[in-house]
This record gives sequence, C-alpha cells and structure tokens, in this order.
Amino acid sequence: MAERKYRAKTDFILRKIDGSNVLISTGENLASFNGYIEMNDTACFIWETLAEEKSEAELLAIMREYYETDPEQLEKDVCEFLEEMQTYQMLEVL
Amino acid sequence: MTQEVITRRRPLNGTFELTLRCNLHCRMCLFRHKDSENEALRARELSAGAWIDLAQQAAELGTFSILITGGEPLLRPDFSEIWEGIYRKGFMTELYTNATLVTPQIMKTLKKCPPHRIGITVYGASEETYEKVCGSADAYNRMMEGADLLTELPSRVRFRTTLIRDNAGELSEMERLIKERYDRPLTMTRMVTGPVRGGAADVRSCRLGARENAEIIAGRKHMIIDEKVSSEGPVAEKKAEGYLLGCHAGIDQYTITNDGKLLGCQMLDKFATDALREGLKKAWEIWPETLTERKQNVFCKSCPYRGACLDCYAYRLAETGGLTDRPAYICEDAALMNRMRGGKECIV
Repeated sequence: MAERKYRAKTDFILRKIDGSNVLISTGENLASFNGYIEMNDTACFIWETLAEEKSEAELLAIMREYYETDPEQLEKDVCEFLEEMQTYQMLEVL
Repeated sequence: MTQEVITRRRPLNGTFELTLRCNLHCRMCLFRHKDSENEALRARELSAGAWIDLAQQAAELGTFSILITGGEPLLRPDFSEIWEGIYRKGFMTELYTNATLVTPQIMKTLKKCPPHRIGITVYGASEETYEKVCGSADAYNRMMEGADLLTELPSRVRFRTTLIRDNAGELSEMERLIKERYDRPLTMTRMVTGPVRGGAADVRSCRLGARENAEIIAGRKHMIIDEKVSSEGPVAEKKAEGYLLGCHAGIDQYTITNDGKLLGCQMLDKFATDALREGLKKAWEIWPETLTERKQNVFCKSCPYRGACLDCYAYRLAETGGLTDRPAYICEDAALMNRMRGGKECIV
C-alpha cells in the first residue's frame, strides 16, 4: 500500500501578525474550525513544507536536515503535530 | 504623546466602512444623511479595486481582523467582489448588516467565504415597529429571511438592537423572537448619542431618556455594561497621561471611511489622515500628529461619578458638537449608573 501523504489545506492562510505566526481558518473550513492558531517557528516550518504534499517519512527527512535534535523525539513531535492538524482538518490526506 | 505610546501602536483591527448609505432610514442612526442616495456621496465611495488594494496593504501592515460595515454594506452592488477580495487576504472577518438585502448572489459569496462573525441589527419584532423605526414595514420580513440564511453559515452570529421610544416597548418580544428562532441572545447598544459625520437623524427626539435607558439595563441582568467603565475613571481622562484618545482608537484599531480617510474611531472624524492618497502605512503612522486639538474636559476632573462614566471624545463630539463641553446625557447616565452600583444619590 502506498504511503499516505499530507498537504496543507489552502483554506488556512498563514499570516505574520505582530511578530507571531498566525494560521487563520477560512472558507469551508469554518464549519469544522472557526478561529485561528498561533504557531511557533517549528510548526510554521512544517506547515510551509506541507504546501507541497509529503509523506511523514519525507517530512521527517527534511526536518532532520534543519533541526539538530534527538531523532526519536523529532519523530514523536512531528507525528503528534500531524495528528493534531488532522483533528482540526487542516490537512488533505492523499 | 510619549515614545512608549508610539511603540505600542499596532494596527491590528481595521474597520472598512464600505458606504454610509443605507436602505433603511432609522430615526436614531448616527450616520444617516438626509439624502443617502446622494450622487455626490456615491461618487466619493471607494471602488472595489481600491478596497481590495487597501486590504492588501492592511495585510502587509499586520492587520489581524477586518470589520466590514456601513451604512449597510450589502447595499453596494459590488459587495461580493469586495468581500471576496478582502477575505482572500486572510483576516479574521466580521460583517455588520441589517440582513434585509441578503440576495442569492450574496449568499453564494458568503458560503464560499463565510465571515468568522456576523452582527445582525434588529429594530423590532413586528412590521409596525419596523415602519416606525426604520421607515419600512417590509424590512421586518426581509430581516427574518436574511437572518434565516445568515444563521445557516458556519459564522458566529450575534444579534443586537438599539432601543428608542418606538421599539423599547417591544424589547421582550424581540428577545423572545431571537431566542426562539435562532437560540441566541439579543444585546443592546449601550448608548444612543447624537449624529456624527454629517448625519441628519434627530436622535434627541426619539431616544430614551437617560433614566429609562438605565432602568432597562438594570432590569436585564444579561446586559453587560460597557467594558470601558472602570474605577480608573472615564476613558477620556486617560489621554492626558499619554494614551492618545484614551481608548483603542489609533492604538490598535482604525477605520477606513467610505471615501478613504483613516480615522481612529468610526464615530470621530475630527482626526483623520488620507489612506487613499498617502497609503495605509503612512496614514496610520502619521495619524497621531492630527491630535493637536484635543483638550481635556475640565468638568470631568472632579466628577464623583467618573468611575461609572462612558464619556469619550466621540460621544462628547456627538452630544455637544465639540470636544470639551459637558455632555449632559452621558453625565446623567453616569450618575444613574453610579447610583445603581450602590453609590450616593445623584444630582445632575
């Protein structure tokens, strides 16, 4: 079975507001989430990376290039963030 | 103005006033002109392209939320183009409307680009009352049809009313209607002041007396007294300490008028820069330089009711036509509110 891939939904618009990264839910997505999310720089990096579809493995490989951290911890954090983003229906699962 | 205030200014919240025109002719409207379809007024209104360009500038400047209002914004034939163009820039969006002009075309746009919040104004619970307050009996039914459609959107919808002599007796019916039909509360505009910015409505002949207004508030526990009230005294007092106008105006909020001026507050056009000519960034940056005329109201300094007072520059201008006179209506309200909070008997 092909590996699942993820892509950031274009209904969320990333803005820089007063120094913070803010992801604003728009369009049809309001039915599931009417609001906005403030993201730290790492979350923002993941979001921007997922502008093009990526599998979890591909995303992790890119993350490892940019972040010198414990690989297991990185995998755990990325996995959790992907799950959280799916909860808020922020991702297209391909 | 101190350097500290300058560094704290951030244009987070913008109001875009698409038009001052309105299809209704409410007796108490602050902004309504005698001839709201006046060609000269129409000609000054910004084009759809200009609004969308200003929205792009607002996004670049770091504006977080945009309120689209009027007048009645749905009156603009190019509303859909303007709304979608602004919406796509990525703001938290809010739409104020009287809900009487919700066409299939507008619903198509709002389904595609639903506002995060919608504020619907309600002026009565019957055709008769709408006729008296707004000059249109049919507007009552159109409001209900519009509200039915708008509440189907995933937006957070709020209903609010302004009470005057002609609809105050129907408040309970209005509350029941909104509760039963939409399962939402009805909130009330706290203060009905005189007209501003060339508005022609004779507010004083139709608004409630300060005592009647205060008694209605006292009788309805869900009413929240305006957040501006604090033990620190009226907001206008704070300006002398370096807070510009003593409120959010020009600190983290601004209004773009229908003809492209930048104001700190939609009610207060005494202090304005030109966003259309200067660009939004410069208009925002130089706006504090327009505040040279402001003066403190000497009456407020020693007022015992200042802790319960809503006075601000906008209210003062609306009530007295100037910035320094004593706004008797606001003063009476403050004294009554002070009494309701357990303060001493008031003499106004």
